[in-house]
Amino acid sequence: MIILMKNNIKIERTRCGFTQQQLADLLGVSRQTINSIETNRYIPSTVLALKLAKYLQKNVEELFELESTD
Amino acid sequence: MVKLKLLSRKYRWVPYLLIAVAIVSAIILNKFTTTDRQLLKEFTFSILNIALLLIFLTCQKLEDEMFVQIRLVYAMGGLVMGLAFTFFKAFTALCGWEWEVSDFSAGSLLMVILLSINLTFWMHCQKMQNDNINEE
Repeated sequence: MIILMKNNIKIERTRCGFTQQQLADLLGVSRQTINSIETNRYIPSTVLALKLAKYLQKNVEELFELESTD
Repeated sequence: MVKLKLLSRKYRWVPYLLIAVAIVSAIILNKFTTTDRQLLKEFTFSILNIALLLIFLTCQKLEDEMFVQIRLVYAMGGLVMGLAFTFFKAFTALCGWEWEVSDFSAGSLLMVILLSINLTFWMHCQKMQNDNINEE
């Protein structure tokens, strides 16, 4: 069984009206990093995940969830 | 979160200066002195290797945790590339093909590793930049 992590960053970012660049500037990371997180190519550190949750006004559990595949 | 001590962007000219110095000094020493060619080759390779390492360890415009991870992945990839290259050269020498194992110095192996690390890292950064253009 493989456990993957998926996220709702793109949905929540759009809901808050941020562009990738604006969110990246708030978090102090590059736009590429936000893009890679949204497309599940990069799993952020706990610090970055908590920052994302803060700026997108959601709990970390609402932004990230584990998904298992066979 | 892993943090790497990287060379500041304001010193990013240093490795390019080193490359220029290595090439110019190799040409001058080769033309105007009777320095041993093998020694000269090793000297040039070692300066170029330092320069390549500095290029790899220079900050991007915006350095963050993802780039640290990518750097580590490509550093490991370079090591694998070096091992594959060593095996390939030894194999070709064993088969009696063109290359000789004795031509294969530590400096040249290190250069293969550093070149592959820099090239793959640069290509990855370019790909990420292009990927992002239409995904706002």
